[in-house]
Amino acid sequence: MNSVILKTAAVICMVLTVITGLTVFPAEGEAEETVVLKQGSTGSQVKTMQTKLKNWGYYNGNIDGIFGSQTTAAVKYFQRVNGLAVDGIVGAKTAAALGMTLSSGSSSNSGYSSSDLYLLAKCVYAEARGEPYVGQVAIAAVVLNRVKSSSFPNTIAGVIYQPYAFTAVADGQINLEPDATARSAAQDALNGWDPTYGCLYYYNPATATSAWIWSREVRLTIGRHNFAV
Amino acid sequence: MERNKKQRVIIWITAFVFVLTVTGLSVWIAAERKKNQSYGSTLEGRYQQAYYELITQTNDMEIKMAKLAVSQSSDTRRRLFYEIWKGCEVCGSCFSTLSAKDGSVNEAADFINKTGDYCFYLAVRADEEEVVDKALPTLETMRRILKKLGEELAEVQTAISDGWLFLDNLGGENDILSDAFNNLSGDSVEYPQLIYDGPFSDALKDKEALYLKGKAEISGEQAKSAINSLLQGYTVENVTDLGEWQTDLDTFNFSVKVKELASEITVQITRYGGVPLSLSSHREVTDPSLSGEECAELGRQYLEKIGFEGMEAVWISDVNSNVYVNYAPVKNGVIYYPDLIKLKMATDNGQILGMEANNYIYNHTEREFPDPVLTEAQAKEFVSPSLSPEGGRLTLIPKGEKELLCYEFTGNLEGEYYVYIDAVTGNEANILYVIETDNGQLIM
Repeated sequence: MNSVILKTAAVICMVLTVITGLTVFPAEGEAEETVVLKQGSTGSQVKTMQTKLKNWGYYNGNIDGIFGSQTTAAVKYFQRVNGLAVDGIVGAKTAAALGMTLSSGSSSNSGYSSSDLYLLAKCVYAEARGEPYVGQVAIAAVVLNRVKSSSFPNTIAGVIYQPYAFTAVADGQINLEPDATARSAAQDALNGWDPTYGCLYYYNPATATSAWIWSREVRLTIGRHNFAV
Repeated sequence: MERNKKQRVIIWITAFVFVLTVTGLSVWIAAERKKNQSYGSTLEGRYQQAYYELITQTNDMEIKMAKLAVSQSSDTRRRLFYEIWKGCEVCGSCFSTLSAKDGSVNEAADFINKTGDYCFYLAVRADEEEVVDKALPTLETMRRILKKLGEELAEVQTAISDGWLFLDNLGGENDILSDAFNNLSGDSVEYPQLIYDGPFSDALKDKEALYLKGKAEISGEQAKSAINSLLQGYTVENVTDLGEWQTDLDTFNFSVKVKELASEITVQITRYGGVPLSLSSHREVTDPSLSGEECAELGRQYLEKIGFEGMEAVWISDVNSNVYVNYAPVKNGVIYYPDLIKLKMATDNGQILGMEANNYIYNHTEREFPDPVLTEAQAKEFVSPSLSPEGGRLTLIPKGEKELLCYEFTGNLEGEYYVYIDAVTGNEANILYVIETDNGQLIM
């Protein structure tokens, strides 16, 4: 009889310890994706990489900033010779071996940082990954419409980081690395495409908690989001 | 005996684990609390900084507005306008910091942004006495609102000295800051109607789609049957009607599943005229084989097939092997920049991934514009010779609400420039600078 109670107490204690352990030291989240250059990538970082590969005799194609199949072959050749995993993708390790640091936004040769696109892509990814493509473009367009509106801050960073404006900023999802779809959607919006025609708000009617947001006039619904003015 | 010993061991272990857990938890909670307190005071500090900055700027701007009313010198007026504009920029960022969930700050921010924009507009025209004189009544209204804002903000100060914290109350029931803003937007104050074409102009509101004027209405079935011809090179598997979108353009909206793409393509076709408005989709391209120019030519042929004739590629940009091409109509040698159509294409097989004809549909129409007064050579004289300008095509460019006939010159000076010279007056209408980035070229 006694021992049953004791055993139960012991089990409860163990469970308590485990739970405490889990609360205090939560499991590490998904590892963050890093920036990679791979077949299909373009831009000045690809150019820099091609120049290095060419100078060192791994590559004899054009230095055009386009990561094509010839560039992939050169990268694989470089990886094989240098004892790296041969996958033809330039991640952090291969980049380090090439003497490069991959950055997700800034361009090295003009000094101009395209942080706007990166920031916009982060917002799209955090707020709307998994939504239809046009819905992702629409999220980016709402951010840009706010930049243009006098009721909101006048820069992309100002709009995205305005307190309470985006839940993804509050819960830290904004720090996830955006995928190619989110980047493309952000690019489309920066190019002037606005599926919402000037909407300044959006919300998910299934999860929106602010009573205030329901008072806005809804113009259209894409995927799970209502877009409103 | 044996059993008792075992029991005792279990009791000790249990007690030990329990004490360890409780001690660990308490230490951890204490540490977390300290961390939270430090975060809290940092944040409260940010709020208070924004608040005090806001109150200082508001009072300062009110005084400058008052000075404007009595100033007779255009130099003084210009300086005051610029200073108010700068004050408004600072206030804008304070408003952003003080935002709460309910958007109460929006209206006040709207007023400040418009005031700043208006003052910037007037600063440029400070020499034109009649413009400034006409603006004085509006400025007086703005001054009164600023004064009221200053007074409302001062109320908050009393609460702060009684221990009121932004951190605990912002966006909550006891949010006196939000009350201050709400009092501002009540019936007691009338906002001035601002007329100007700055970046904040609400121009799109009542715009008419000129290209659709007089075009016949089509049915949903007709729109649906047009999808196949728009998605050339794709095998359509399924079409979903997305229903109505309450935007300014009346459109049929479809989501189309095609064999060739993982994600669906969204297609928009206008109700009047059945004109394709947009295609949106995305695909990663890994084997680029076509150049930007080759894509541009394929795109031109595509546009011709879907009913947009006489279009010429005016801008090509490659972003991760998706090529974006802007097309403009060219008539009698004049490029119509307001009527752009944009295409996004895959550089492996030339597939159309995106299309957008918004500008074309809103702006394309028969236009009348004056013949150029200047010759190309005369216009070139107005471009800085350090650029060694080339080109000199006639273009129509948008300028605020208006359109201007201009000569377009390109030039190089540690970077590529586009310079637009008004073909009638010789004024420099616009300068664009091309920026090379990892994400293609940008124009600013």
